[in-house]
Amino acid sequence: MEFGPIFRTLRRNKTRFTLITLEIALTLAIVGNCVNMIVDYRRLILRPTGLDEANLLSVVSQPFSPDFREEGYLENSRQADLKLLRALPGVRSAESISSTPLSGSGSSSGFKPLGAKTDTLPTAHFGCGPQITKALGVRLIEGRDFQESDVTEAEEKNILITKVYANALFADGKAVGKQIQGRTPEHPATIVGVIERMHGSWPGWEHIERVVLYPDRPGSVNWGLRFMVRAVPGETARLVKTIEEELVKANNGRNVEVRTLSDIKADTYQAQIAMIQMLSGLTALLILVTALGIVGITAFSVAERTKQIGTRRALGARKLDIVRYFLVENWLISTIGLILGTGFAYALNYGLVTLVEGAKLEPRLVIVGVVLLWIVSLGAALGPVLRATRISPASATRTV
Amino acid sequence: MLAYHIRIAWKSLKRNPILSALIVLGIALGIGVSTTFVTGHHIMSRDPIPQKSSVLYYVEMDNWDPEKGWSDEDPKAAPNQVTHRDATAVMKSTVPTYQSAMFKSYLYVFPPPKLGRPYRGRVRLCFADFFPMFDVPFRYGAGWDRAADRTPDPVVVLSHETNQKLFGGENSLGKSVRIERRDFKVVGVLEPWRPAPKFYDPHNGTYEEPDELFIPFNFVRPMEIRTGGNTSGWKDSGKTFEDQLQSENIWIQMWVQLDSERQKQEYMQFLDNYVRGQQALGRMQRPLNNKLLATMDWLDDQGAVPEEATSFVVISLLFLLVCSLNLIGILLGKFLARAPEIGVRRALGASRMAIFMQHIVECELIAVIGGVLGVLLSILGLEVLTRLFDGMLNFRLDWLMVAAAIGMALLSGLVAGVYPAWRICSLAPANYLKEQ
Repeated sequence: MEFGPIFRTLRRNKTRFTLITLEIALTLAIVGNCVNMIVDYRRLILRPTGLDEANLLSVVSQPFSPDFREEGYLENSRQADLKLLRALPGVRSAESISSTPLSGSGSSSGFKPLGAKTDTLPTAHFGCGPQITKALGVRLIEGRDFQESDVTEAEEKNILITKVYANALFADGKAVGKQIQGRTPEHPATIVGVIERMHGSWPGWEHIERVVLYPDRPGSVNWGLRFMVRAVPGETARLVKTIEEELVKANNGRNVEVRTLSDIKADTYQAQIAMIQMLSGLTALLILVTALGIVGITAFSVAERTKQIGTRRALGARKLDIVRYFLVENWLISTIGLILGTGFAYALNYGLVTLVEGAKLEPRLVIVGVVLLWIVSLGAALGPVLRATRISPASATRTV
Repeated sequence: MLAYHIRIAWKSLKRNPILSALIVLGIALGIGVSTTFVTGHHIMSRDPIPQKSSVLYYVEMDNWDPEKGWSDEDPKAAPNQVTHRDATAVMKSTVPTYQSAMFKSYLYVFPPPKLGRPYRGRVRLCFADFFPMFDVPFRYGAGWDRAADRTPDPVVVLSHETNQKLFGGENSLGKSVRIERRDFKVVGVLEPWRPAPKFYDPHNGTYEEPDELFIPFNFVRPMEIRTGGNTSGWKDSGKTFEDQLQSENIWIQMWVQLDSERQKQEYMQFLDNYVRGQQALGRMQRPLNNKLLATMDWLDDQGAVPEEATSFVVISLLFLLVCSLNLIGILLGKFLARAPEIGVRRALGASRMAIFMQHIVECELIAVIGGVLGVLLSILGLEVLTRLFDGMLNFRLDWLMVAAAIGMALLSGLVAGVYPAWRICSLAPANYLKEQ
């Protein structure tokens, strides 16, 4: 290998090679951090919610007819809607709920074990009908599910909580049969079952996996009636229109809004989705710019050394030798740049993490970045280098 | 001389059009990307009401749990909204130039049947002072007067968009709009008005669409209107609507305009006295912690500018740096390749300064073309940003940002050009003459 001559060439063209090294190093730093942020946002969006996301629909019935203010009218409407929804072809299950998970709006409160002297622990809570676990597609792992008889007027409720909340409340995680209270010990609630996992209302919240479900007949004239509908796979899109039409047909004194949970989730995560797209765009553009830079620099290197290449060819070097020479040179430069860039990447990450509480840079992503830039760098150099092979040995003699 | 330099530079660019296009494109991308994100940050962090932001104050009072403060992280923080009872009580002050308690709700609006079904409109309940206090622009009519606050009179101010929707954009003053079960008379129609961030109510949707209708605050009680924003509470808030109004739940935003330091102190005094009075009655048992937050402090407090916006600015400036490095490398190669030509010129009497200047001018020419192209690219980039954020914010270039972009371009042209230009002008001519 011609490491010796290459090193001496680099030393004689210090500035230019320093520049390209720095450029590659900075590119790695930026690309590494952008990809790191992309991965971080994607993890946030794609983490399991415990819900049967793909097949869920949120249905909101918003009454405006004064009839709804009459005693019992709203509750009758709720039951009629549930009956209608459950009978629709393509609907697997349906139930009332007080607010939609993942939607960004909902209620929260705090509980602690009955009699405990500690602070209450904040959690999202949803009032819902007895078939809610089926309608959400969440999995019960301990205790029992709701029964019709759990829906009572009594202040003391039987409730379901998530495993994460159970672990937060009780050191041993055993929650079934235990009672919890709010700030005051009146009306404690009894935990009858534990759900494996369920996301609450606010994806930005650190306690997104803390959820309490309590049996209720949720709905009010002001905020309307809300249902979760779980469709047979593949039927979700079709049901959006059908449900709206059917419900309005059944009672025209209200507006009905039907949205898929995927839609709602995309709205809630809109900023993150937008950031993923911006970061991807930035990364692609940056790699493009760097590649163009390498093309340019290599082209100049080649042009500048036309005579040497001709001389070498005249002295018996094959085309392959010329290609190898320039590719090894390119590889050396990019490797130095990438080593430097790894340092830069961590420095930039440190800065960003301090500035905005971002995610720590993952080593595996740096490695991915290094490999990617090696390939890009070699690919970018290939064009000008192949052109170098076309320099004829005769050109060495011509200009002397 | 400058004209001559520019002519030479132009010729040099034309000699190798593909290379020149690459150079210009490189710098244009750098400028385009950085201008896009700097503008994005600038728009998110700018003062939404610059002419008045220093005299408008957001009021906070601490009615929170005596045993547990509002914020775990910051013991000095006060709750970020106020209760209905405190809002209505401090509205009795005569100190502020303007003052308004306010909140948003969603209420059914009934258009004439031929125009469509009833829909839920975003309604802001506020006092008469809301409009003059925030310099709200009117197309027709004006806000209501303070007398209408007291009764309250069934009057409504419509946003531009709502007036388009309900009345086709005509002068609708005096017409009637049915909201829930009451008819309201239109007294004012706004010009298109979309403060972003929505500084007067940022924690209930910083960048959400503007309010659609405005009605007097005191309809809260007769219409039993509940907030459509966040409510926080720490104490049982009772069953009935009246219980809610008397509870410790916070859901109202309170704004005042205080024009002088004296007025501010007087108002602070008023708040302190009010809270002391409440403490004597057994409420508000936490230490006195009233706050008057000037608009921009309030927005900072609420984190109106997402932290991520700052990291994008950092990354995009680094991007520009990479583009500049790129430019240096390519210019160096390009300039050195013409060393023989420069050797001849030097031998014929051109001074180093002249050669240096000629190359700097060439770099700046590249930078200007790249900068203009970059500004065009950033218009595209901002359009993409607006789309990505679904119109939550309208990202537009302003002249300041255009100037900043061109400035950045000239600066990077200069930074990138100095070294290559210096190298080429300091070559000894003799070497290159010999070879010819």
